[in-house]
Amino acid sequence: MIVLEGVKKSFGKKKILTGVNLKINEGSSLVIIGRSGTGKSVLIKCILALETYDEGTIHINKIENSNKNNKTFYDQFGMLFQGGALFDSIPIWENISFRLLRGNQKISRSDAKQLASEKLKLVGLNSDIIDLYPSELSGGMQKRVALARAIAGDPKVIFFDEPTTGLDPIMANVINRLIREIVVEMGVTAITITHDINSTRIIADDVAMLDSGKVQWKGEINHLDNSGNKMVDQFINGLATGPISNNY
Amino acid sequence: MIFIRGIGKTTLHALSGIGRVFLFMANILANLLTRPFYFKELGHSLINIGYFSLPVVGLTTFFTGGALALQIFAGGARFNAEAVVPQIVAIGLVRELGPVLVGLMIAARVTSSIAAEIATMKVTEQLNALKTLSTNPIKYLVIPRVLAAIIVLPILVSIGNIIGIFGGYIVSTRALDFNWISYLQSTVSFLELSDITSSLIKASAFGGIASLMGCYFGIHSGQGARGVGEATRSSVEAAAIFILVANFALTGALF
Repeated sequence: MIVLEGVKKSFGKKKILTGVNLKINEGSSLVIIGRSGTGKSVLIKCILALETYDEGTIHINKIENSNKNNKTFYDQFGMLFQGGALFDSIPIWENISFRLLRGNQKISRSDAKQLASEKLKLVGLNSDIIDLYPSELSGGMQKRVALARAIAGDPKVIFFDEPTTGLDPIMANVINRLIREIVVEMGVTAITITHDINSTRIIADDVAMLDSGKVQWKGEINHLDNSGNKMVDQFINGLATGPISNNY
Repeated sequence: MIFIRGIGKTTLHALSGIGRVFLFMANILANLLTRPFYFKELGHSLINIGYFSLPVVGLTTFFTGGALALQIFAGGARFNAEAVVPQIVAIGLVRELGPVLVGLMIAARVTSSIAAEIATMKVTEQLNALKTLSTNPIKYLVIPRVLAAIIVLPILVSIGNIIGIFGGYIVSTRALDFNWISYLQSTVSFLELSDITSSLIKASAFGGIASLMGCYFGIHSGQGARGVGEATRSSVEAAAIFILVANFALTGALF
């Protein structure tokens, strides 16, 4: 279980998170929705200890999150970055097996290549691209490779940062369904941030709405359309007027 | 008053920048001797910084050696001391011009490349991706590059010194009518071991500075294309200035 209590984060005078309280149950898929610039990416970077937070606590399975003095901290996580963040200078198979070629989970290069091939199939790609470099792939294929990398070390928790941004609607749907399949089949805890309602409906078990630096509503996906929260109603219906501020 | 405030602000900014560089160095040292070690990345960096810099180092030192021979001949002729060309070319290149010019060429070629590469990795979240894949960017990206430059620069400078002396030799024997045997004898007999060791010490220091600046500005770059551009420019400026300052300090210490 991941528990956030009173998490605050500012960049200079700009307050991004003003007291986030959130519980994410083990094995569930939580989607955090909200407008661009409301601190969704900052929030997951705080959970992953990629950003320090100013106040509050974040506990992962009752242990406060920190990459300091804990060499295995990141072994439990997989992360799909918004832009893929594939390493340009190494081929696809080394990208996918990166974690497994070094560090605590190290395996042989031949096993790593085999595993990369299996993970590629899992995300619907043919293994004949395994020796290509990221720049030789289309945006959609890069996203799938990044997804394969995120699941390669069999993590317990996977983060998806805007998984469908920049993709055409068909490819976006393919990625959404892949994420849902992976979450169900691997039984992992998944945290996705998006402002895409279609993605939310496919991926989520639970939904949290972030606005003004706080969680404004949290509930099951079945309750999204009748949440009783005006901010959620405005957001999911894309209404120009309502309680959500136009100021960032 | 505004002028004095401006001086104070600039001074504080410069001092805090130097402080941050020293903290960065301390971070490198803290990670240097602990596992894991990335020998493959070290090998790549040795080839990138060393082998692929050979053409630019060779051309720079060859033409500098040739020009130095012409200048010393012209200057020496004013007090009938043309015969000192081989000795001055040798000592000028080995003690001073070889390490400094190679250091500056490495700053232009390698520092800029390291800064741009790491800054681009930061902008595209590849540095964060490294962390989430249980890999420390200091260990994986910085230490191999800094170590490789410290190791390979003395080799590059040695090769550059030989090529520079050869440039002086070609000009002196072809254009200035020096006897080739006496030119070589004068060069070899004049140089002392301390000349060569000071050259190699400077080379290692300049290699460390050049790669450190590339890594520092890359890791601390701003966002977007502008951030990458500024990181690259700042890294080359800082490397060139620190190399020249270190050259002065080391020359004083090793004189």
